[in-house]
Amino acid sequence: MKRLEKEEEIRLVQRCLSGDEKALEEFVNHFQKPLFNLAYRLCGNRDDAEDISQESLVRALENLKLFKGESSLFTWLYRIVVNIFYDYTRKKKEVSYDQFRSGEEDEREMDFPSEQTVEGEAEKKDIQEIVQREIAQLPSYYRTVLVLYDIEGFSYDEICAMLQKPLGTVKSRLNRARQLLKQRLEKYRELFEG
Amino acid sequence: MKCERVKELLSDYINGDLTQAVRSLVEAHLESCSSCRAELIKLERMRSILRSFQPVEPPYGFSQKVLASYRARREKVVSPLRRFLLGELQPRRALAYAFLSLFLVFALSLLTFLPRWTRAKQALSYPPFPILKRAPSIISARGVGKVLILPQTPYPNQDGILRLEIMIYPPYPKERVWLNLLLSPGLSLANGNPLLPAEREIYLGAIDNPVTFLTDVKVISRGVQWVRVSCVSDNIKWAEGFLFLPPSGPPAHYITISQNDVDALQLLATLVERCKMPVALPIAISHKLNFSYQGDAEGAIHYYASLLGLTSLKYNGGFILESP
Repeated sequence: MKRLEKEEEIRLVQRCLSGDEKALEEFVNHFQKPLFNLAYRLCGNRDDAEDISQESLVRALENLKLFKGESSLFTWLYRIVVNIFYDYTRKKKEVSYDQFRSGEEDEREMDFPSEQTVEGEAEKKDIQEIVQREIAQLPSYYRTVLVLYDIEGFSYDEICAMLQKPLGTVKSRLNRARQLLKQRLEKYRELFEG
Repeated sequence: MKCERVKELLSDYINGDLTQAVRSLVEAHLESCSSCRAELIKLERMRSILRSFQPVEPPYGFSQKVLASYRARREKVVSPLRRFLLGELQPRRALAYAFLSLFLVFALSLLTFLPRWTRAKQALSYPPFPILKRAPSIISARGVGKVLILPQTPYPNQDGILRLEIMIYPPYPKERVWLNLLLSPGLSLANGNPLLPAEREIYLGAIDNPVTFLTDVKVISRGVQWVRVSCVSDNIKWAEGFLFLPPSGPPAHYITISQNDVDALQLLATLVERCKMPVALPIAISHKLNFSYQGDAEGAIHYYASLLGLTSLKYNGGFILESP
């Protein structure tokens, strides 16, 4: 997906703000795919991803005048998606978040599927799907960093700007997220043998 | 380096975030430790799976849905009242709008009453009496308020209207004063309904200087008429003054006497200052003014009394002024 140049971004925002309906369409068409993808990676299913990315785009359009051009438009939009995703997980009273918040002890209580049920499952299902499903079981704060760094390929600086967190926090969350995901994936032996 | 520590560092290792020194230590350990090597392979494999994720396509018609939702919301923002009436607002926001409406109603009612209060306040801005400039301490030191009613003209005009000047001397600074004006049945307020009881209450606000204001009364029947002015603060009446109007006959000059007036010197001086003419005490109220006095201005009292055409008699602890 081709990213817009800074000047192009600012021009597009200004056109949207001036009430140019064509510019609105252009804006939505340009950003719908990356935002939908981010939302999908974060929440792990298409229905919720649609809700989150739609709400993000609408809120972005409503608050476009607040975009000052200090960060890139992408960073600004991704931040909106992440915030809405956090709201969404809070509303859903995400179980894993509550379990993980208090630390390592609770991690053992995570709902690991038994060996029998997953036996051979990797063969039937697409690897991506399995990994995606396991990502969706991670606590939202870890999940976000993992998705932004390992899947979306953002740099530390960009992630720090999106999450408004210091570098140390982002790095430690990434480290923790990878450890947790690896633990969850270890039962799918095929993944690591392939 | 121990396995546990190396495993903690593997994530930073594959990101290339370690310093050269730490990286060398980790690599040295990996060469000799198969368990940590296996761990590294798993992490790298996992990362390569994550990096190979293919982008997914948003559902069909997604952008149209977004634009429609944005446009619908934009229109709703224009009309919060409609949303309120349709019950579409969130409870918290609806409550905020309800408070706003109440505030507007309050502000409008305030505007309705404002002219009345402004009138009362204008009275307060009258210049104070010259006499008080000379001796304000007499008023406040005694702690006794006073009210005086002085007619502006010796008799009513052709329309039967007599303009009265009402002077209020507050007993204490910053006194919140309500003034009650009551007229005898033969009088009415100039702008009031003659069939209704002629009574008017005016809030003067917190005053700490003497104030005066003018009011017009209309003489609608013959006979001795009177005007009563009471001053009240915190439901306590602290002064009451009467003005008696003579029944008829030649132009008369009136003076008023504050019922609880002990500062007779002040009263007399004010009367002389304001009336600039010989004044007679109407027989209807009193022909005698008796007051106590413990000052060194006895000469002044005799002088003012003579200007008013009264005989003055000094007795033990006070004065008696009488009309001849």
